[in-house]
Amino acid sequence: MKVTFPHFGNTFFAAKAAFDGLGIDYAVPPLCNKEALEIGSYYSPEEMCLPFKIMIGNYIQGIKEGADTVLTTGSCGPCRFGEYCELQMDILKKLGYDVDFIVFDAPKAIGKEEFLRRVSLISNASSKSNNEQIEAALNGLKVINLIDDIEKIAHIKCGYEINKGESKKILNSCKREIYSINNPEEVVKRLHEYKRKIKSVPIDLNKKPITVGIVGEIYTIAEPFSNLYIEDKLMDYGVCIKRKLSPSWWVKNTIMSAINMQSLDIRLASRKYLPLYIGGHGRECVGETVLSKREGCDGVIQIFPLGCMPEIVSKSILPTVSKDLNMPVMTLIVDEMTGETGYMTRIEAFLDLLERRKSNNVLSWS
Amino acid sequence: MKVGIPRALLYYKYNPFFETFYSELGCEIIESPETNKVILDYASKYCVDEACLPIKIFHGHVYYLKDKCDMILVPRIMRVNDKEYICPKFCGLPEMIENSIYDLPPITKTPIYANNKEKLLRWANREGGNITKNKIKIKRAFDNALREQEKYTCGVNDEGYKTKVVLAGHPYSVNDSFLNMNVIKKLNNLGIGVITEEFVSKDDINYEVDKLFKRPFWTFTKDTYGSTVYLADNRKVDGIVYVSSFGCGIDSVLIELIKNNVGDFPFLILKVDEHTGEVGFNTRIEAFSDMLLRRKLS
Amino acid sequence: MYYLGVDVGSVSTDIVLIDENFKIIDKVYLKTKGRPIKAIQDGFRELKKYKKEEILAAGTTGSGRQIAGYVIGADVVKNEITAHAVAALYIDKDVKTIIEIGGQDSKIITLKDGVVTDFAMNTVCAAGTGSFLDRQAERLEIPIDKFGEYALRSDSPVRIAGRCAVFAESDMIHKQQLGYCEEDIISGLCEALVRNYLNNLAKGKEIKQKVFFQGGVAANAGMKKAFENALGFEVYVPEYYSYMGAVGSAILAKEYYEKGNKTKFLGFNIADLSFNTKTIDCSGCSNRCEVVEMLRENKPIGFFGDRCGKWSEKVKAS
Repeated sequence: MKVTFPHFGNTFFAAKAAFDGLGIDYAVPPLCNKEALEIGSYYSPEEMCLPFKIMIGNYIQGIKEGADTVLTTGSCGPCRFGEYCELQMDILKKLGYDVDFIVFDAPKAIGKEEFLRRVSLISNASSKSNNEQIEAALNGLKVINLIDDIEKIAHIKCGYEINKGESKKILNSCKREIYSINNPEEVVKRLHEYKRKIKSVPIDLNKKPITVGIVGEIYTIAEPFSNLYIEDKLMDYGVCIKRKLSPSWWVKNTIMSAINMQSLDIRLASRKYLPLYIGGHGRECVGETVLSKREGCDGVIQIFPLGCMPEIVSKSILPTVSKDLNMPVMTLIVDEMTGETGYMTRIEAFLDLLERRKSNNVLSWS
Repeated sequence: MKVGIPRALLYYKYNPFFETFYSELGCEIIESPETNKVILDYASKYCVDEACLPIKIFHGHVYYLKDKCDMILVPRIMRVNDKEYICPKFCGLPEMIENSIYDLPPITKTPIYANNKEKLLRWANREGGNITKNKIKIKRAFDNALREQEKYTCGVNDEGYKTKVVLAGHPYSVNDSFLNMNVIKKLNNLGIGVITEEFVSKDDINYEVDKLFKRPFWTFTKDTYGSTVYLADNRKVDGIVYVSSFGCGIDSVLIELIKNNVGDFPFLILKVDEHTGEVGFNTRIEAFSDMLLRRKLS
Repeated sequence: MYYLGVDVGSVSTDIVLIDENFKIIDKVYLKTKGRPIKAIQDGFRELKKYKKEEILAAGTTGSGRQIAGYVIGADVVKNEITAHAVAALYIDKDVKTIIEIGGQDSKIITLKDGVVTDFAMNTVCAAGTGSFLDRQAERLEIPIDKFGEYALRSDSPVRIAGRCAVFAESDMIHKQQLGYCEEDIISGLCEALVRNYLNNLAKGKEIKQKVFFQGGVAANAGMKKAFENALGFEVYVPEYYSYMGAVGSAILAKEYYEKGNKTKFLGFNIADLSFNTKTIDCSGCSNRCEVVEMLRENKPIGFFGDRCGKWSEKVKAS
């Protein structure tokens, strides 16, 4: 068995560590790039949402590197993500790829037995002992938590750093380095070192950087390729970024949702505007926008793929939230046709808007 | 008290319930007219651009009603069957409405779980409680409303046509003749009869759905997929005509699912939005009807 | 002593010189024709009568602002939304809303107390933009500068579906086939485009007076009238409506100078240098960035498009 999986932000670091620990062969598809998107758009239904298309690209690229099994997650709706696996299996089958799909759906949707059966498909392929397997899974968890943490710190530090670009450089070299290590223990060790390193980046607390909250559909905000690397650009502008949703958040949220204790702060914050679960992360989007204001953000950027059903609901609510909180909110919708020029112009103009509000100066520039 | 009922979305399926419920409580019912040009203009003006046409049209109907009644029914239908959903936009419909249209009378926001009677009664008690404190009256209105609903079937099953197609799509796409540009009449005029999913039995639907890897969690997908594939596979119809709105997330999955499972069975997809030109629309229907007739002859 | 503003748009490239009192001293309008560098050079050739030393600072804006910035040695590289707002505010402090319709995109900018508070920009659909109107004028065989006149002559405009360029065009053709006169069709087209603009771009935004209408399409009196009919009040077209981006970036350059900074402007003689761009498919990692390299006299002066910064840092270092 050789496993491949779709990209989703930093998850591949964790998946790699876990599979290395389990001793299972795997193929990490190339980081999401134009080619993956082109392949995906070509084979996917036109009106399908962007994550679906990029994932198809990932699968095919992974299969070309020898994978025979696709590992992915599901959901029980009501957003389209839950239906991905059904269509994706059909598409790959039609293309003549003979691959197995292992779909991790929530136990409550498919039943505990079925869930365990699917888990055993993975664990049976590993020659390691049960304890070693558990350790491999835990290492995967550690990796995703650490790398998301480091990223989070870098996203704040970039606004205050004395040597411009230092945080981004450390973040990039961290990712490059741990990807080349095949020993999970070593990866965890290096990540701890990098966490210390990023924490010790010298900063100037007199700086008053703009802080932007990133909210919206989880895939398009956590997978940098899909949002045209917006966070890289914000870091270059010396803007602090606050983004709650990340792969590690998703893991925690999914586990906590079994006892209905997930993201209480977000749910509470959204109650006034959207009290019910509507699928995807529509409610989280509204809640986070409210929290962003409380946490000192100057503005919020909402990102979602064209046609995303839950986010269309939240988009119609956000203008009211923005007015109530007196905080600008901008929505960016991405799909395979998104042109970089107009996209960047809007981001820059939004930052200008925030800058001018903050300094209350009609004509100053950053 | 005047209760406004927008003639849009699942009005076409569940109106008898709501209308009976409110009139038994002594309310005067104000229904918006069938969708028309004016309502469509409101629709595109007062709804987020990214929404699909049916949701926009619902906004248009609410706007039409807003100064004509004391409250408006905005049914937040969460589910009608166990473990199934309608669509995320239905779950957030009241929020979409109140953040897009200002100066509204009160709207109903209580979630509707119509998958069992007790849960539905909870909705009736909550919303009915805003009108009367008399619990017995509410219960009676509720029972009568359910009875009226059970008597009612929507949908079409034309008899006496040599050629027949299944008209697939969400209930409001199939039944709102403005939205679907009178597709049923146009097909009839071309000598084509129409059957809709309401005339396929639950067992037949389930039989088809169970063949899938994963049971669809949208009621629309389950019903439309199951009925369409059943009718096509068993050659009960000569073709499939699917009315779909641009930007409908569910359709982007559902159409693909049907396509993957009916092979080269004649399948016409009619995409509509507020700008669809009638000329092109008619051309496609006519061409499809020609194709069906030629297939029959050969 | 002057300040230079260059606005490189997808359709036109505008260059202006302003003096200390914000007065426009000279201006050049050119078609970009997909070759922004050549357009800038052609423009600069016309401005050679000014000496390099006379320019205290230079700014660029528009979709080609980055390339333009490298080519001319700009001090301020700013997006066109900010530039348009700045220019409008200098003409009239009371502007609350700016409607800007250019060659390939349209924008709405709302201002409060001289600060941009909100904006929206269409980036997908070409309906309602200058290029679309040009195309329709060509199809109807009416010179584009007469378009406004025709529209004003109509008293019963035809209703045309206007959201998408393709639909609007086919609907227009259909109406033509039905035999409506050109005046009514053109006027109907203006109304459709305005309706489309207000329903999409301006949705949920309060359009407060005073409203400025700028960008190339503001030349069309039919569009101005259609906006006024739809809004119910007067819409102002500033004198230099099609140069507002360039004016804004010249003003931003002026501010730059007034903060005590020295200019990096390279002078108008760059008109005679050779500029090239090359695309490099970087294979450094699986991001596979498409890196654009800019060369002046075969020496690299700038890189864009690399995610890791390995290329763009090269220039900064040297």
